[in-house]
Order: sequence, then C-alpha cells, then structure tokens
Amino acid sequence: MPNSAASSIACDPHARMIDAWKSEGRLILQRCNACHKAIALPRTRCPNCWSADISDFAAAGRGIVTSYSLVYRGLPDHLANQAPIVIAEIALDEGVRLISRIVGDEAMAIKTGDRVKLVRRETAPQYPLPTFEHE
Amino acid sequence: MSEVGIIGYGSSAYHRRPLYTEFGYLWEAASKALNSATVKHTELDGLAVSSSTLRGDNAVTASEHFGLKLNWASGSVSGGAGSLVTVMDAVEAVRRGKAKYILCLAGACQDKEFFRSRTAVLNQAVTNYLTPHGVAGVSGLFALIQRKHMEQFGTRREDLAQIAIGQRASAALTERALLKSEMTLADYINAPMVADPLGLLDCVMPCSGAEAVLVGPLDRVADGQGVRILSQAQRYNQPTDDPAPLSGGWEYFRDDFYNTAGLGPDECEFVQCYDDYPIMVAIQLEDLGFCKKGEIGSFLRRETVHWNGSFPVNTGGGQLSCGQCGGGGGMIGLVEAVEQLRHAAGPRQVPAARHGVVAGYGMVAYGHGLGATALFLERANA
Repeated sequence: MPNSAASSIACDPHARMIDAWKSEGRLILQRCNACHKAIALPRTRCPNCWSADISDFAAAGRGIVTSYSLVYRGLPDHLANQAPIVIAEIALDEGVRLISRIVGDEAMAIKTGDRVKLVRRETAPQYPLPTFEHE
Repeated sequence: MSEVGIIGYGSSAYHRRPLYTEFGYLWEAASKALNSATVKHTELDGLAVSSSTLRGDNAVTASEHFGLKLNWASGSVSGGAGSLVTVMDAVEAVRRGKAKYILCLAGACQDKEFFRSRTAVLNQAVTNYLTPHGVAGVSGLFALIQRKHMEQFGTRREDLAQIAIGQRASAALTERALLKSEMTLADYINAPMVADPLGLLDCVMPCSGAEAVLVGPLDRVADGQGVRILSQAQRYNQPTDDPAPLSGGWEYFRDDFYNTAGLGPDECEFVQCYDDYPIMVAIQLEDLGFCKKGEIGSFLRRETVHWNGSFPVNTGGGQLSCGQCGGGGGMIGLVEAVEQLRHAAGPRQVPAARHGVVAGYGMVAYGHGLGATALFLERANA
C-alpha cells in the first residue's frame, strides 16, 4: 500500500517493486551507484551513504534459508485454511536478507541452509509479494 | 534543589476484554500512582502517555479528560521501548525546572482481535512487507529469531521454558496477573504450536490495563519510598540489515550503561526485561551481560528466575503472566521494580532489594523491534 497521497509508480519505489512482482514475477532490489551497496527494501536514497543516486535492478531471485518458521495460528482469515504456512529469513545471493514466504511441495520439510528461488512467473500473481520455493 | 527520581507507582486492574475506555485504565493507574506518593492531581504539571492504541488522543487530550493543567506533555515513539524513555525525559524535564511532578502513563484498551488488526498495520514496513505474507501478530518473526538462536547456540525450548515457568510462579502472588496457575515443563512443551518453535505459552496475551509512575523530587516522599535512576540508555536500529538478529541495542550501550551507573550486572538484586516472548528476555539478559552471548541455555539450567530464585527476573510475572496492555507492557517492569525497591511487593518481595535493572524493547518493524532501552535503579535512602 503506498503510504503517501503523492505516491505513484513512477515516484514510489515500493509501488515499482510491487508492480514488477505482479506483472513480471521479478524481485526488484536497489543498488547505490555511489557506495555500491545493495538495498533490500525500496527507498528513495541509500541508507548507507545517503546518496540519491540509486538504481532499481532485478534480483537473480535465489538465496539460502537462514531461519524459518511454520506458522499455525494468528493467520489472517484468507490464509487460516492453509495453515501452517512457512516463512523464512532468506540471505539472497546479492548479499541482502529478506523475510518471505516459502511455498511448494518441499516447503514443509524446510531446513536452515536450504537453497530457495522465486516461484515461477506464472504463479507470481497468486502471491502479494515475492515468494520463494525450493530450488 | 532536591534530587529527582521516581516517587510513585500504580497499576490498573487487567482485563482480557476491556471493561472501560483506555482513558479509564490510564486514570485508574494514575490515581494509584499519585496516592502512593500522596501527591494531589492539582499538583501535577507534566504528563506523558505511551500508547499506540489511543488513535488521535495523547497526553494533551488526556489533560482535558483528566482535568489537568500542564506545563509539559509528551509521548512515546518506540512502542514497548518508549515507556521507559518517557520516564527518562520526565526526569530531565523536572531537573531543568520545566515541571515539578510528571506522571508517566502507559496502557491500552484492547482484546485479541483488536490487537491483531492493529499489529497488521503497525507501521510502513509491517504493512507493506510482512502482513501481506501472513505474518500478522508478529509471533512468526520471533520464531525466526528463536530458531536462529537455537541452531547457532544450541539453546533448547526446555531452557527458555524456565523463563515462562519462573515468571508464572511469581504471578501467583501478583494481584493483576491474568494467568496465575502453575505452569509445568510439560504444559509449556505440549502447548499448541503458534509459530514453530514458539508454542502458545511463549506468546504474550494482549489485554487491557495500564501502568503509571510519578516523577518528582525525591524529598517529597519518605526515606526508602523514592527510586533514583543511576543510568539510562536508548538505542534504535541496532543492529542493521538483519531482519532476525540475535542481539539488540542493549549490547551496544551495555558498557557505558554500567560505567555511568558505577555498578555492574552482578550488583543488582533483580532484572525486569521486556517479555513479549521468552527468547527476547534471553537476548536482553545476554546483551546486558548477565551471561555471555549464546550461553543463556546453560545460564537457565544453572539459575532459577522466580521472585525468590537465584536470579529473579520479571518478579511480578511480567507480561507473559499479566498480559500485554499495549504500551503498558513497556512499563510493567518499571512499576514492578519501583514496588520491589520500596519493599512494597509483599509476598513476592525480593529480599534486601537495593538495585534493579529494567530493560525495554519495542516498535517491531521489518522483522524485529527497533528500540532498546534500559534503566539502572537504586532505592533512595537518606
């Protein structure tokens, strides 16, 4: 959800990220052109050096599970009938960490250290945010 | 001018479902805090309110509701970490002559359903990047932290259970606790899973209630009825870039915190930590130097944490037993500490309590709480 009345896809990096996921199944990260650090959550400046010279780029969409949980209770109504859902902290190959949902046949057997990748482009629209499955 | 400190404390009743409005809960705690110091409401000239459930209301609108004329009003911006910050700010304001008596209130009027809808839109990061995945209610986030701690350090659920079990033993002697019945290891281990490895008895229960402390000149109250703040600290967004970190801001400020106090972690009789989940109590105990990082498991096999144990933690039962009344969860430990240091804790009084450490934690955003706070307290004797 855009958080400002002025938000539009052009000027809101969060909106661009959501649009790239929904329309193309891509995970958009950002990179600072001044300090070259990768940025995980979309922003308008680099939180490391404060440069405004940052660019969006499509992540490879692969990473490693660094922690996980099977969530049984406290789920929103539209997910309660899918319990448990699997969430994980993922260290992406680009060097940033995200919390995401893991789906697919192998999700319930998840272990720390597992390799995961973004779900296929065709299934992306089923999920509100970039979502992963086992490699 | 007299030294400034905490001269009063009070709590409202706690309820699973609200019986009155949030101002009603805050007012009940406020009234008890003033009574404990024999300060009249007409003497108050400062008010802080820590609440994330008041919507448009705050300390200023509370002044109208409570009939107070004020020189100073403030509030918290860091959830469960911020209730302690309002007290730090109040002490400073009284020292500077901005006000003479400042009441610091924290609480909520909520039940589980309200809590779930509120936490789903807690802030931008939660709203945009966690709630859409189904991680509402935040337990899943603390499950990620606990599993990482277990896998990196060998911490066991049986170890963390001792925090919940010990606190519950203290709660049996705490009037406002909503959960007082004895908890066994089997109860803890066999409780329904909420977010593996967190079971139901790891998760704090949202409730309604309020906590209050009164800040003012220590010479206003009798010998032993005031509490001096020897050291205070706050740190935000530490560490960075790690959604599920195994440490927080306490580790960053620990050395300065104890240097300023002139006392170390082995020179207090109790600790009150922010206990939304036992794993966060564990991380605070490690970060604040009560044991080394990663060694909480062996620490908890060696020590007992109930009020009369070898290492008393959350001696009033904490939020895990009393319930979490929103921002009041950030002040329940301080109120318990003041009661202990005034030697007013009755059947759960920690023997010869002279010093205590209180820690705060809050404002969960992308994966973890961003705020970490702490106070080192001393019983004020002439």
